[in-house]
This record gives sequence, structure tokens and C-alpha cells, in this order.
Amino acid sequence: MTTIYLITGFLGAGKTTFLKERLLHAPVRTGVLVNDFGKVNFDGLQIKRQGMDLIELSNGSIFCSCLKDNFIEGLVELVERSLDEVYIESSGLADPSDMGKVLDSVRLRLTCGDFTFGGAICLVDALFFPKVLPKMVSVERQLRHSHLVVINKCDLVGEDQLAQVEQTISALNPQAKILRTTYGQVAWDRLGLNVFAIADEETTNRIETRNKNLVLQLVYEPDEAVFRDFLSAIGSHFFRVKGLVRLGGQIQKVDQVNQQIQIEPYHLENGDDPPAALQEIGRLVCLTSQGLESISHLARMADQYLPGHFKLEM
Amino acid sequence: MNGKERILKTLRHEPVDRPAWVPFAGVHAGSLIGKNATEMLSDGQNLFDGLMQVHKLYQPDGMPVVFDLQVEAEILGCELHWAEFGPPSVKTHPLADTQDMLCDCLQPAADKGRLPMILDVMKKVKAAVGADTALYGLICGPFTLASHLRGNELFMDLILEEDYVQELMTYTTQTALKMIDLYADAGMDVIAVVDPLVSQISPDHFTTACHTAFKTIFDYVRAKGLASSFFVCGNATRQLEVMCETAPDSISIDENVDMASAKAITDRYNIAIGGNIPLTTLMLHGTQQENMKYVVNMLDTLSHDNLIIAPGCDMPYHVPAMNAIGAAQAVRETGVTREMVKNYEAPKLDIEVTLPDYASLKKPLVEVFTLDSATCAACTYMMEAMNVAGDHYGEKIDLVEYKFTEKVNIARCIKMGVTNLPCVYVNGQLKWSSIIPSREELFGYIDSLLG
Repeated sequence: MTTIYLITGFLGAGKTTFLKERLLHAPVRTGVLVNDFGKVNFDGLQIKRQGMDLIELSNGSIFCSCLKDNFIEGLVELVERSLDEVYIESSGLADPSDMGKVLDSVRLRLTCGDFTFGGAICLVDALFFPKVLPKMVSVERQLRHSHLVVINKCDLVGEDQLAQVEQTISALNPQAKILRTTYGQVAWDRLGLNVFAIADEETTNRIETRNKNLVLQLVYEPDEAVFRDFLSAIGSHFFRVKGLVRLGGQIQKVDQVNQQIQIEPYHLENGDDPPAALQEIGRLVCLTSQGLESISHLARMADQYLPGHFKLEM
Repeated sequence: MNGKERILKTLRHEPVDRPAWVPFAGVHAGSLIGKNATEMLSDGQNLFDGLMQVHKLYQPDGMPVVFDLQVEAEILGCELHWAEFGPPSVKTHPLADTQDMLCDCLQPAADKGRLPMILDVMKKVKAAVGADTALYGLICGPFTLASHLRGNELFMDLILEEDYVQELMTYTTQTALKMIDLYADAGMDVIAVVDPLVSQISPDHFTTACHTAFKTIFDYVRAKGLASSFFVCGNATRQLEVMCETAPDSISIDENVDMASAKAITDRYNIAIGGNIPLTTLMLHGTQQENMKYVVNMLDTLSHDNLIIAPGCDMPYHVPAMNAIGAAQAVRETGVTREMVKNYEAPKLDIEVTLPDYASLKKPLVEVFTLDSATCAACTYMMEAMNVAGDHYGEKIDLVEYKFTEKVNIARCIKMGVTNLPCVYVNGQLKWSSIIPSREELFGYIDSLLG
């Protein structure tokens, strides 16, 4: 019997960190289905470990009709391999309101194996939550359709804000258990997840509400200070910017949520094949829902800060 | 200075030794190798051979590889009607009866529609002549593509469904960006965004519905290190100012717009301008000397900075090669050509046309004057709008199209005083000029005539 867990949470809330942490202690026969908004599945790159069953679904939300079929097929495939546990890491903009239907479809298509749903776990970024909730309907849906809410990055805010965040979450989903943490760490064995019934709703992830993402490929190594200025200049137009970029002769992982920029050295796990992205100077995926103005802004800023250093692609 | 340098410098607004010359030979290239339009636009070898012939005969500084605004529409699910002597036109509109958006999965990719053939020809042309000739990758503008997808309902949507139009324009702009990615990879130097229908809406509608889309496209082209051009056809005089505000590197216009006045506007924005040798009266039906004289006159009356000499739009299939050669000669050897044609007088058009007795009509007469509804997108949608009325009213009205490609209709236009195409006269009076009416407006007017 396979247990399926769904991990949700807005962009940058710490889903991948939480999952990596969990995979360190998970049973041997574990599968992961990673859904990334970009064309390049950076989350998949980070999670991949030797021998693990990994399915990557990129360029959209698994709850959107454009990827839903692949999502269901992917789950069927993982369950039929008789794994102990399967983790679904949804994209930050996923609206999982019809997860029940998805699981029903999986059950109908199974030819062997069986599964049980272990619950939906939603990661929340304690710092940005108050800003993000009013803007993003998908965040509210993620919370309402969760069994456990993990408030992450608690070290970045004071007790007052934490209490306010908890109160807001409880009002949206009174039944969900709420935990506080930093760096996505939770004592998994003591979670005691209660998988209560949650009525399905129609998901808001539709083709026409799909977010746009652009890929910026660097062809020359940029100066780090100029590159940081460039990231600051585009931050207000993009929910999330992430990727691998060679800076100072070393591959760095770039992760930006709003104006918070993280750049840190990228290390390969033992036994991993070097991803194609490492052969390049760099590749960034930039995600926006603000429409054409953001594309225009990115083009102008790239031209201004990194002239001749990049290739931009839809 | 070679042709490519001349074009790229012009588009960067730098001084050049003489104005650049870009013959827009789309289907016309087929006539040079004995292939019809369909054979040209669907077969890579024919397309390549035709383009090489254009390069040899017309000695262009820059040239388009494919002039067909239906490539994207075909990929996105429009059925096409193929023609022998013009590019295909759109027969069906996938969003005609629905406001659902198309899936992103339908967007162009290198393996879809005719793109494998087109991208291959682009690479071959680049290898053959790309070192000294600027290559233009033509994409369908987002507004014309929106009308290909939605049909004539789009003009009603502009008034009643602004949000939907925005959504559709966002989709078609993404199509444009994907085409730019593909054409950039295939070696194109200039991306020309061809949007004939822009001339058929008001400047206000352009600003609200189209500005962001075009601005995004031109910013994107610039960020990719390419040059851009905004092609429009029809009477776009009113739209020039708002077109300039989207910041293309150049704008290309046809004979419906006065070149000198247009250049005064584009010069204020430091945008290059291209055009506007008349396609039918001169290139198709004129003599070689007339073409030479016209181009010499353009060069004598326009300032040479920021200037590209080109046909007003895609050259008609049957343009005699000698006429385009004459135009090329006038650009390349202006002084010699000026001497050759200084005493030349053009023959007068000797065709008698009898106009209807408008005062005694038994039922409303709708006369549509077009360049050719089979080949000019603005004319296609104007004619389509009128055909809707024709189907609706049946015998109650008379409906007729006069194509400017036929000499007899040129004579009719002169006699009627028609100055801009496409336009619609009802009972001998000009009713719509370069503005496609919505169905409600059109039916309301005809109802009022029928009492």
C-alpha cells in the first residue's frame, strides 16, 4: 500500500527544503512527483537522489487541464511500482481544490497496487504571508484544502506577526493542524496527521489564468554586483526568479521571491549526474502573472543591465 | 557599405551612403521561377529558388523570407483557403463562437505547421546571401492574429468585451514572442511585425487594446539584439503617432498614407520609415519608367535619413519583374535614372466606366472597394463584414466588390473619387473608410435605409 502526500505552498515558502528534509528520513522505496512552473525543473534537480523514482512535470500547474492528465498518469505509474510513499510537490501557484477528483481518477486507472492518501501539507512563508494572501487566490485554496499547515521561516518575524498568521490560517481552515518551524524542519514521526474529509471545489488553475514564465539564458558570466542590481530591478514584476548562474567562476543557486534575493553556491549530491544547466553560464526562469508589462520590463532591464550577455526565450 | 550594414545602420538611425532598398517579394517571387503562390508557400525548394531569383534580379539591401500572415493562424487551428496568385487567407476562426482561450500547448514550435520548412529555408537563405543582405522575419501582428482567431466578432468585442480582448491579445502576443524566438534562432536580422488591421481601428482603440502588446514585442526584439519594423497597410495616417509610441525601430506604410507627412511624424520619434511605392497602379499596372520616376521623385522630395524605399506591402504576384528592377535601379543609381526619365510622360488610363444611377436605385447598393479581399487582410475582414450583411439581407440589398488589382476598377475608383482602400460606399456615398464597422452598426444602418 502506497501512501500519497501532497505538499503545497506559495513560491518560496520552503516546499523543496521541507521535502528534501523529509527524504533524508523517508523509507527506501519512495517516489516523488515534482511540478515546477518553469520549463527547467530546478526543484527536480535539487531533490533527485540516486535510485529514486522521480517524475517531473514542468511549465504549468498539475491541477490545470493542460497538465492534469499527465499528473494522473504520473501518480498511477508511481503507485503501480508499489512504492511505500509518494510525495507530490506542487508548483507554488497550484490550486489543489479538486485533489479528491484527481485521486478518484488515479484509483480508476490503476491496474495493480493500491494507495491511501496521507494528507495535504501546506507550507507558509511567515514573512511574506500577509502580503501574498490577499493577492493570490491559490494561496487561500491551498490553505483551505490542507490537513497540516507548516509555518516556515518563523525566525524572520516576531511573535505578534506569527500569532496573526496563525489566526488567519485558523479562520480559513479551523480543522487543520498548525506547526511552526524554520528551514522546513518538522518531526515527521510525531505529526499525527488527521486526514479529515475536505469537499472538492473547482480549481482556479485554468489555461487562461496560467502564469507566464520566461527563460533568461546567460551567454557570458555577469559581474555579480550588476547581476544583483538586475535582479532587484525585476523583482517587483516577478513572483519568483530561480535558476543556476555562474558567478565569480562558481555555479550559484539563485532564488528570488519578491525583493528577497538568495544566491548561494550550488553543490552536486554524490553520485548525481551534472545537470545540463551546469554546462551553461546560467539559466534563470522568471515567473509572472502580471501579463505583458512584465515581459516588456524584463526585456528592457536585461538589455540595460546585461547587454549582450543573455538570450531571452518564452 | 553592404546592404545588410545599410539596413542595420538605418534601423539604428545612423548615417548611410544612400537609402536602403527592400523589395517585399512574397508570392511574387514565385512568378520569377514559374511557380504559383501555393507552390511557393508550401515547398521549401521553390521558396528558396524564388528568393534567390529576387536577390539576383532586384539586388535588395534587405528582403523578407516569407510574406504570409497566416502561418501562425494555421498552427493555431484556422483553416486556410489557398490561392493561386496570393497568399492563403483564413477560412475559419476557431474562436468565432466562443470566448474560451486556446491552450498554450498550441503555441508555435519549430515542428509545427509550415515552420519546419520555413526555418530550414531561412537558414539556407542566411547561408547563401545573409552575409551582405539583411533578412526580414515577418510575423503576424497580434491584432491581426486575434482577428484570424476570433473573426469579425473582434470588432464588437473591442467595444463590449475589453477584458476578453486583452486576454486574447496577451495570447497572440505570446505567439509573436515565440515566433521571434524561432526566427531569431534561424538567423533573421530584422523582425517585421505585420499588422494590417491596425489601420482599421481608431487610435484610442489602438492605445487601449494594442499598445502594450506591440511595446512588449518591440522591447523583446530589442533585448534579443535584433532590429524591428512595424508594417501596417491601409490608411494608417491617424494611427502613426500611437504606433510610434510603441517604439519600433522602423515603420512601413503603403500608398494610402502620404509618405512626407508620415516621415515628419516618424522623424519626431527618430524612427525609420519604409514604403510606399503603390502596389497596383504603379508596380502592377505601371510602366518601368513610371516606377523609376516615382522612386526618383521620392528620393528627391524626402530627407534620406531614417528612410527605406520599399513597396507599400507584399508585391502582387503578377508585378512585371522589369518594374521592380526599375525601382531598384532608381534607388541604386538615382542620378542616372533621373536623367533617363526626366522627359517621360506616363500614358493615360484609357478606360470608360459608367457609374450606377444612384438616385434611382431600387434597393440599397453596397459597393466595397478593396486592394483584393483574397490577399490583403484588412480587405478580407472588410469584405467578410459586408458578406455577413449580404447573407443576412439576401435579395433586399445589392453587394459588389471592386478589386483595385483590375485596371477597370482603378478607373472606377478615379471616377468615384475613392482615395483610401478598403472602403465601403452605400448608394454612392462613402460610408466606412478604413474602419470596419461592427455588425450592429452595419445592420442598423442598412435597416434605416430599408425603412
